[in-house]
Amino acid sequence: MKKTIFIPAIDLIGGRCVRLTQGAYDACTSYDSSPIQMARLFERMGYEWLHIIDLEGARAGELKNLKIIREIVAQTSLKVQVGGGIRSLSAIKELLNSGVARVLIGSLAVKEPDVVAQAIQQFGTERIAVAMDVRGGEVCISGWEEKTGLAPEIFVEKMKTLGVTVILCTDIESDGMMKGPNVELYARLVREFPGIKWIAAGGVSFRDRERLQQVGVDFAVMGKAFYEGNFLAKRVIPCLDIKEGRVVKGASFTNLKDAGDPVKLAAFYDREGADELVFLDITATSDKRKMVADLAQRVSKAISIPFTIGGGISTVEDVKNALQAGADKVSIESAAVLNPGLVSEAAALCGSQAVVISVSPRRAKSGWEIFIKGGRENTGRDLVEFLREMQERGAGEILLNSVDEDGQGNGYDLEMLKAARDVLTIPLIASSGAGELEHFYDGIAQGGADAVLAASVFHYGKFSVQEVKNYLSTKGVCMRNFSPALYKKGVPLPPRSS
Amino acid sequence: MKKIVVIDYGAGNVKSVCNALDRLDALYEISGDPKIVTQAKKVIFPGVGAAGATMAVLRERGLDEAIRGLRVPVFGICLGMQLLFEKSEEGDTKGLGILPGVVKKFNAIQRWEAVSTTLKIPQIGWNLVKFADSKSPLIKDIPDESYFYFVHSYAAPLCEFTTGVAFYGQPFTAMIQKDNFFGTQFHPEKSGDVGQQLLGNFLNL
Repeated sequence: MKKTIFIPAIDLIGGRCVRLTQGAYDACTSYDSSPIQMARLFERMGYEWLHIIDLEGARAGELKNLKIIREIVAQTSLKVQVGGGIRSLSAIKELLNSGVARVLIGSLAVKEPDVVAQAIQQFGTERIAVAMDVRGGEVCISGWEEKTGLAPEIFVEKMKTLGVTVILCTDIESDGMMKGPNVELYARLVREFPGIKWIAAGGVSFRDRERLQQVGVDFAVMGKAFYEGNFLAKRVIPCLDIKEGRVVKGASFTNLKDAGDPVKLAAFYDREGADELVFLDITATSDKRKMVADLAQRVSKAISIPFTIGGGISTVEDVKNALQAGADKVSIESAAVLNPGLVSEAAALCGSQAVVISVSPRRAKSGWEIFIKGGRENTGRDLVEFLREMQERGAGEILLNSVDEDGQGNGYDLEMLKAARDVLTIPLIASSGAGELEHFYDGIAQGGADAVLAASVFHYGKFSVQEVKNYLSTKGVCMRNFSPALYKKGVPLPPRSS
Repeated sequence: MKKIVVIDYGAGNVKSVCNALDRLDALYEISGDPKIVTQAKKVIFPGVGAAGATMAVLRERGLDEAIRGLRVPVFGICLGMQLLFEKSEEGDTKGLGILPGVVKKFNAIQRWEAVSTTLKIPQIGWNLVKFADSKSPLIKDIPDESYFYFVHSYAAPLCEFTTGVAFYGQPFTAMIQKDNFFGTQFHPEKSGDVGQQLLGNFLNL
C-alpha cells in the first residue's frame, strides 16, 4: 500500500501566519506568528512538503506574499506548494522559478484552461495542481461565488483533457468540522481516476492517516488540526471491586464473585491497553485504611498508568492516605453527599485533578435520586443539582454509576449521562450497564462521556480492553494508540551505575 | 560515585517517578540538597503543585542556582519543565530562565471554524505527541504520534527548542531540549509503555 504524504499548511497575510476563523482573520499565535519559524518546525517534524495559501493574494487576484514564500523556499528544505491569487501564466512562472515545487490553480482552470495547458507543457504535469472544492456533490472553484453545477467526475474529465494529473480536492463541508475528511468522496475519486495524484484537504488530522492510506490518497493537507486541533483521547477504564485485597464483582452490588488478585489483574489490564484503572475497595473492616494504602502502594509499583482508588473514603486523612500511597486520584461517594465540605477540602489540599466524585443514582419520578451505601439507601438528593454543587466545590471528575443499570448489560443510562453532561464542565465517566461494544460507543457519542468504565465484561472476558478500543477507534472516537510491540520487545534496562 | 538524583523539594510528590525508576531497575537518590544535586551524574526534576510556591522553595534552598549551573543531563517533568522557562503566568512567577518564553494558561475556548468547544481545564488524560526532532535521544524506539499522559492547566509555547508538540485547542510544547536540559509537559512515569521507554532513554543518555 502506498503511503499518504501529509502536508502541513500555512495561510499568509501581510507576511504573517494567520488563520481564518468564522470568516475573520486572526493572527495565528502558534509560533510568534513567523511563517519561517513555523516552516522550520514542520521541517523538524519530518514533513517533506509545505502547503502555503496566500489568502491576501486570493482576495486581490495577484500574488501578495512572494517575498516570504521565497524566504521559506530558501531557508528550508521543504517542497512548497502554493495557492491563492495565481491568475496568470506569468504568476505561475514567477512562483515556479522561485523554487516553489508546485502551484495550485483554482479559478484559472475554469476561466482560462488554455493557460493551464500551456503551464503544464512548460513546467511538466507534476508541478501544476488544480484545486477543486466540492460542496454538496458539486464543484465550486475557489474565488467563484456560484457553484459550477458540475459533478466532480465531469470536472476531473475536463481537467484530464488539459493534461492535469495532480488534483487537490477540498471537501468544504468537512473543512472546519471536527468529523474528519470525506473519505468516501476520495475513495470514489481514486477508484474512478487512478491516474490522477489526489491531494485530500478539509478536516484532515493525524488520526485519518490509516483511512486515507487505505483509500489510496497520495497527499493530505492538514491545516486546522495543527492550529486548533485537540487529540485528547477518550478513555477506557476497567473497574476492579476489591474486598479484603481480592477482586470481586457481582450484579447489582450483591452476589459477589471472586475474580482474582488486584495487582496481577491491574498489570494485565495495563498490558491490554487500559487507559486508567479504578479500584473500589469495599472492605468494611477496621484496618481498611491500611489495606487501601497497601493496595495503592502495590498497584503503583506494578503499573505505569494512572489509577483511582475509592470505596469508603470519608475523611481528608483517607484521601491523603490513598494519594500518598501512590494513587493518582481518589473517588469519594457517600461522604460527598453526607459531608460535601470534604470535597472542597480535598480539592484545595490535593488539587481538583485528584478528586473524583462517584455517584450512584436511581431513576425517580422526575430525574434521578442519589443512593448511597451500595445502592441501599436513598438520600432523596436530585442528581443534577448535586453534580452542580460538586463541580463548584472543586471536584475534578464525575464517575456516574446507575443503580438501575448496574450489572444488567443493557447499556449505560444515556438519558442520565446527557443530563449530567449538560451541567458539567469537568470530565464525565460513564459507568454501569455496558454489555455490548455499541454501549461503549453510545456512552461517548450519545451520552457525551469522556471515559467509559466497565467491570464484568472485562473480568469475565466478554471483551478485551483492546477489542473495545479498536471498536471505538473504527467508529472515529479518538483513542490512545497502543503499541503492544513495545511490550513484546521490553524496555531496555539502563546500565547500572558503576 | 556519581548518582542519578531525583530532586525532592518537599512540595511535590516524587513517588510515581521513583516507582517508574524502580521498574527500570535504576539506582538513584532522592534529594533536595543543592550540594548533592550539583554532584549528580543525571538529574530528574519532577514537579507537582503551583509554580510560585515551588520556585520560592527552590530559591530558599539554593536549588535554583544549582539547577541552572548543571552541565549533566537534566530532565524536567510537567511543572519541572515549565520552570525551566523564563516566566510562568501562574502566579506571575519568574522561572529558571534556561528556556526562552512564557508559560501561559490554556485558552479554554477551542474554535474550529464554525464549531466552538469549551475545553476542560486542566487537561487531564492521554494526548498525542508529534515529535519535532527525530534525532532526540529521548524518543528512541518510540513511535511518532504516540499518546502520553498529561495533567496541567498551563502550557509552554512552541519555540526553536521544542522537540515534541501536543494539541489541545492550540499547539503547545510537549517536549523540549536545550543543550543538557530536557523536559516533558506530560508525565512519562504515568504514560505506560512509551513513558517507561522515554525514561529509560533518558537514563541511557
